[in-house]
Amino acid sequence: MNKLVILLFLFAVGSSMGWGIELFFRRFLDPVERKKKKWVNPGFLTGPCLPVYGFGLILLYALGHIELPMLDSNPFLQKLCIFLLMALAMTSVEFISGMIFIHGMHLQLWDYTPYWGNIKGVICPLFSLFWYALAAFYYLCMHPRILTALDWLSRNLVFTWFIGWFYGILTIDLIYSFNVAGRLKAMADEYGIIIKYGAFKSKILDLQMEAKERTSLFVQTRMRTVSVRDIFEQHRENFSIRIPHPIDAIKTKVKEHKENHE
Amino acid sequence: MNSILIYLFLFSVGSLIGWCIELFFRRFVSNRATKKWVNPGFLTGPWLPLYGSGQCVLYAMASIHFPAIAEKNPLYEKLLIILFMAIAMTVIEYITGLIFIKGMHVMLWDYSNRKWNIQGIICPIFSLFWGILGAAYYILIHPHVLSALDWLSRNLAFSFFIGLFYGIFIMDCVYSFHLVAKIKAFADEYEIIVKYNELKEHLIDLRTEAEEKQHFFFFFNMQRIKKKTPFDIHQIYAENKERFSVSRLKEKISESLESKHSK
Repeated sequence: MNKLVILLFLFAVGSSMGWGIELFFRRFLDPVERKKKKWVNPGFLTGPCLPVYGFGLILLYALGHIELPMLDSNPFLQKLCIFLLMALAMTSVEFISGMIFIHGMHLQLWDYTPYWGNIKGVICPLFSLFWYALAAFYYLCMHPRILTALDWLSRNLVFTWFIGWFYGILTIDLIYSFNVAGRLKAMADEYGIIIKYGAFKSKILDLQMEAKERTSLFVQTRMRTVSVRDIFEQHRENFSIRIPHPIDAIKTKVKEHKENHE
Repeated sequence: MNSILIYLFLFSVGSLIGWCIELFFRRFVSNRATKKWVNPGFLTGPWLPLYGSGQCVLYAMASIHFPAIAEKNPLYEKLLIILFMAIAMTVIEYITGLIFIKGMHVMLWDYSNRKWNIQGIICPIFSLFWGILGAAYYILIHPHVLSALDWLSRNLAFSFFIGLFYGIFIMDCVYSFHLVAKIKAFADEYEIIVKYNELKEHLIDLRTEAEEKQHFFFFFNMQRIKKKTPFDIHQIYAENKERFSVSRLKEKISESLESKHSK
């Protein structure tokens, strides 16, 4: 079967399942967020899809085929090492995507600053441990099933039609969500902040409850009665971090330099 | 190969090609006087479901045979099939037009100036066009469609792209029906039926006037105009409704008159 179809399938399955995991994790397990008792749409997209998990599943699938010949004598240790590699891979995916969003879009999609040993609030040992557990779960319970699913798919290629559906909707979602994020970025830049996306959405949910507006699990970035600008003007301390962006820091320095010259 | 997949493929290809046909037809033939590129149909993206369904019907009809007639003269058989194609397309056109006028109070095309039109939805001259299109399909395109389907049956992974089309298509349907529902609410308020194409052209004019960027696909996107000038979609209707509206069907008006009289 075409390798591309395998990748497309894994990404689709991974990102939808990851969305489900994350939704419940944030509602019931996350040490900080569960206290808010709110169903917040995780991630940056509008639909039930988290690309981080999609890329993650592709990596887990690839690493699931790895064998470590030097540890053949001890299959248990071998597995633990594979899980470790998987956890490392997931943590780096997490780090890369977190950094892209913070630096590129001025959005912080998750915040580990309260946790011990975090690096820039994007990764931390505790969540790497969660990734380790998830990797072990994947390797022991899911990997064989994914292999049978792929085998079935190779015999029923018509099924790729449904994978196509996923990507069609994802395309529209990407266009819409990047549009929303672009507008938020413009506002974040204006106020010189980085937006905590989860906190932003949860604030909007609060405001919607107050105004007795209908809430939605998917579109959580706008309100019917209040404009986003008003939300920013009145409530931004709820969801903003003041970190001078490196480029902004350079800009202000250049400005100062110019002023001194004049 | 799965026959559902065949029809899904035909629908997607037909609606894409139909959109292109319609775009050029409206620009250079039917509405050439206005010299405007208007996105045809009620959906936002480059597809027209009417042509998609038409393509499915044409495909099904192209495989019909009349052995009794073919024995006498194979040309008669072909002409008969083309005639049936024209009738089928006209029926599809009639049903679609009627659904939109009755259900959404939107008129997507208007043949009321043409001879022998029926409710402004179908007319003989356009049935003739459908016949020509049917003939072109039957003689020129059908063999290519068959070979494309044969290729598809050997490359089933390609159905990914068909699925991609439907994923985007369904999102478009959700968005566009939402939009049409809003327009319907306005139409009901003013007791009119909205001529969709004229409304689009009018919005193009307004944008040109306000020196705003044109939105070819998202024709209803008026945010920037709203900010600059006090244009409001409500106002646009109130001031210009005669430009793109036909009054509601006669029975509706007489109904309301009767109810007023009885009061």
